[in-house]
Amino acid sequence: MMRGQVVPEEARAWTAGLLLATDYFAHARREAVAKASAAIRGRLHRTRRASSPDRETSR
Amino acid sequence: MVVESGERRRSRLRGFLLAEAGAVVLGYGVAVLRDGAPVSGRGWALVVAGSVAVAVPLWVKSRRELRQELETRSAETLAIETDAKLRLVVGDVVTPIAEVVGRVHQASGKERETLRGQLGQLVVEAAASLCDGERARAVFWRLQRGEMRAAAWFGRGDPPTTVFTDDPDDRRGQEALLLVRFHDYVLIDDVRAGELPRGTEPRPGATYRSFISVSVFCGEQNLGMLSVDAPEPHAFDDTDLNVMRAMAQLLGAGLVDRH
Repeated sequence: MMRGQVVPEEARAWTAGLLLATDYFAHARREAVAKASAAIRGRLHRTRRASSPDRETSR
Repeated sequence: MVVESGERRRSRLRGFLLAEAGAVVLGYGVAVLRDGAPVSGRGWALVVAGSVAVAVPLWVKSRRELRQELETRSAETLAIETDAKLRLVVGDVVTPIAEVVGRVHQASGKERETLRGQLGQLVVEAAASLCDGERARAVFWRLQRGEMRAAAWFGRGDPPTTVFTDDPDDRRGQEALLLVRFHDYVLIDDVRAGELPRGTEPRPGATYRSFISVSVFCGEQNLGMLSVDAPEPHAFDDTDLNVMRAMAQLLGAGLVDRH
């Protein structure tokens, strides 16, 4: 389950001019890379697990 | 993070190869224990030949597997970069800017104009930060009374001074105004390479080599031009162009007047 703000606080601070674009994008980029990394690795892991023969049934 | 995990997997692969080599050495050791070490030159030659016969396929295999591993890792890194960019564009840029566009249309009078100025600044900040060019600079050229002047900019130091006009001797200005009127875009990989479309030649002393310019409009209202440039050639690709198109349309949606 996931719940959160549609427009997060940092984004609001940027659009309101309270946060410098360079700081906002540096933080957003770090977050995006970390989440993308976890998502891609998760997908790859699931794909590998799905494509490898099922040890339980192959015995 | 990406590198750490890759190194871990690489060392695991090396571990498997070492285990394979260890198994061969163990087999040889057992043979020596059972039958004794070679005593003649012929026996030693046989051992050397056997070692080479085992080592060569192992070496070839290790090189091939390491290469495959490297290719997989590159593909994984590329996938992560693409996914991260998508998250940045959709989640961190389009969503908050769309919210500002909504607020522009809720406001009136002076507040609306302030929000519009803010919107222009947000769009150039996003364009310069999202497009891949190193030291990119994004500019919003506002169209007013038949001329375009820089209304907002972000990125590389030098502030834009160009004014695009419809004067007969301002060829670049005429072409830029036509681009806006026809709701077009243009991506130039290198302003110093080969033949360029009319009016896209850089002004003398320009510090950029590549750029993207996109018309900013909404319906029939022409509002200006959004551009991003970089001092390197081939700094932008199709993805950057699509980011610019989306940014220009968001800007147009916020700047348009009610009929």
